[in-house]
Amino acid sequence: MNRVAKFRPTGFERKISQWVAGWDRIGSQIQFHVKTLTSIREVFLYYRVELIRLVAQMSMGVGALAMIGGTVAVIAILTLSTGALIAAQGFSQLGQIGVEALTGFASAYFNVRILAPLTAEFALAATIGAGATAQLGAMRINEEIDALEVIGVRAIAYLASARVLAGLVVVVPFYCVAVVMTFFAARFGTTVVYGQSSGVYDHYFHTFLSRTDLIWSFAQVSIASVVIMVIHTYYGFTASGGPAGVGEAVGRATRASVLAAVLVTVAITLAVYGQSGNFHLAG
Amino acid sequence: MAIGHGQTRVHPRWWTLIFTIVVIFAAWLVGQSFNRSFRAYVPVTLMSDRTGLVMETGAKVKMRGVQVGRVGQISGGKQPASLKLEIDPDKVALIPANVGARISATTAFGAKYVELVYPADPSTKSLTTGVVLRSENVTTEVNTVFQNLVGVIRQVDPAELNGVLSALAEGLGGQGARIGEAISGANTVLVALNARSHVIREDWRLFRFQSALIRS
Amino acid sequence: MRDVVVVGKPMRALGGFFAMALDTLVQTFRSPIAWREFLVQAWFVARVSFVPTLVLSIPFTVLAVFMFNILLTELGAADFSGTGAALSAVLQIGPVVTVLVVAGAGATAMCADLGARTIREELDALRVMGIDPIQALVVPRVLAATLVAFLLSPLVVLVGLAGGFVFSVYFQHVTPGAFVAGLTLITGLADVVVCLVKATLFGLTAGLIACYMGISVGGGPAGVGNAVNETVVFSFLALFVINTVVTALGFRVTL
Repeated sequence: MNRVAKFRPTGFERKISQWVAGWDRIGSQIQFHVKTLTSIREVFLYYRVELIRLVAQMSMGVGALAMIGGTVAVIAILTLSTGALIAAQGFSQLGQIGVEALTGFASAYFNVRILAPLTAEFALAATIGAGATAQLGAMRINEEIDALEVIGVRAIAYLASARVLAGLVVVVPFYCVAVVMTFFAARFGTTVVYGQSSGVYDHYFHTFLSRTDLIWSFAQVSIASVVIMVIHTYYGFTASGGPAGVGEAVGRATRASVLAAVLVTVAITLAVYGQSGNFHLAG
Repeated sequence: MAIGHGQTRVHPRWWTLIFTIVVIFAAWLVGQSFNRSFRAYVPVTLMSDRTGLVMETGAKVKMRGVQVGRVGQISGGKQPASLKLEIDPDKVALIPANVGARISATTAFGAKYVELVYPADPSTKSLTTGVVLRSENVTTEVNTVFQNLVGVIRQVDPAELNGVLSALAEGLGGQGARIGEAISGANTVLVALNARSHVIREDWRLFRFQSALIRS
Repeated sequence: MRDVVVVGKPMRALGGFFAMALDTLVQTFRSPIAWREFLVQAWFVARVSFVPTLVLSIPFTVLAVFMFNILLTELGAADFSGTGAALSAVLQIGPVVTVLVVAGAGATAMCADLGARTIREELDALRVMGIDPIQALVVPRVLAATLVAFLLSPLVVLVGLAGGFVFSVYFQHVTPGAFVAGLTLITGLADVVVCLVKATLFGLTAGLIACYMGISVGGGPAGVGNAVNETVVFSFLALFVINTVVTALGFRVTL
């Protein structure tokens, strides 16, 4: 007769095994991410039409999102409000020390380096990121992903890598919209709402607007968008537990991707702008 | 964990380890890039009596308004102070070896930078590694002015001084014309006296002689 | 006619949202108050939001402090680094990070939970039993989201300031005493009150949007996924717009 030994783990052992399980889970997540990124080649080879369909879907959105104008509208509204913040806060606080003429400089400096990249990344995570997780999660709990694999479609390439690539394609025009909207909102707020002369604003704005800063912020947003999409597709792919599980996956994915995007942005900012910041104001 | 094709022969545990190592390496890279360890530069030493307040590492080195480098290390505490300047390699060829230096400030807050002064007779050789420059002076700082002012104020009680000056002002108020007349009158008298100064000196000498005689 | 339909749908949705919000407001003051559900939900939102808040506020504040310090060092006024840090942390970073975490973590969970119940027809069952789902489910969730957002925002500010202090002093060579002394130079009680007001409004709005999207879900499990996605989007939109409006108003009122 086989005697199965009774294994009752102590509290400490349970904690250790929990940690090991967590470590393994992170490992399998990294494995998935690496597989997603290496499958991008297959997307180019086999699933180009799906890529284009996804690009269209991501820009204009589905359902209620499409009715408010899709991802473009969301990015525009978010960046409009953050640009308006520069006008509201910058003008008021600079006015307290009498240098409100420098609001144009504040727009060129803060918008390009922090506000536009971060706001665009949040908008991306909220719209196309959460959308990807929701779609993939719904497919997972309906067992559609297993069906895809049965009929021979490479699931990771077709679903995850295609979305990562589509996100990368779509982020460049989106970020252009974001930057233009922040500039417009800051300028509109300062010159029309607060009544500063547009010549003063434009002079300081154009003096301090730096081309290399803009290019670096594009690079920041592109890398962050890859990170965001990679995380969101993982959580969608591994959703479980019915519809509530899909919602939970979206929540976890949004948290994780926003955190990762912010960390990537901070790392690139620190590395690129270094101690002195490539910045000349006085002298 | 239904990943299907995503599984490789490498156990997930190793992936986490690889990921951790990559993250640590990336953080180190960011730190090095932040400290500008990846830039090449030509080191030059600057000797000065004082470095000036708010002269920090990372301050700019400029010539004719164009930034040519930054200040690396500052060692002070004993006279003379020495600063290690890091000059950009692509600009070093344009700087003559006998360039002068001055520590000045750009704004009222007093953040200092090093200004290289193009000499009147530039040497044909350009700046190379290890050249030692001397600084001419440090801009008068607001702090020094305040320091002197505080010394004066300690000697003179400002409230009392204010009282005396206001009393004087009150007393002399409206008397401008009369004071002017008095001063011109005094001036005439003194001019006349000056003309006869040798007579006055003789009289005083005789007067002293007389009083000495009377006492004895 | 089709144009009316196309415009009609979002209008109806908006109208439904405001109707539910009004219902929630009315039901808040009607007994029986669902205390137990409120506590459970508040604990849940706090549990999922706590760690992301801490971890998110540090890089945010470091970024803002870094930007400010570059500017101030250029002017030689690095001693005012604390002022810049306090300004950005209290006025913007506190509310924004609260938005991200409460909307991204708490609101999605609420929406998913309510959405799952709706497609299982649990809400209809509650109505049949005579329990108003708004009073039993929505009101405690909305109040929980408001309370947790209100409590999270100062946490974000504190952690952010601590992180900014460490970064400024150890990496950018700012004098620690000057940093701390400059903290309250421009930022005062009025700004802290504005920050708390913003956080409360955010929690309220995110809770309402999440609950509305949850109880108006349709189309099976895929519909729940969509509803959660839309919750995140609409919460972000509403919260960023509220942030701008309250900031501008705050300046008018406090200056």
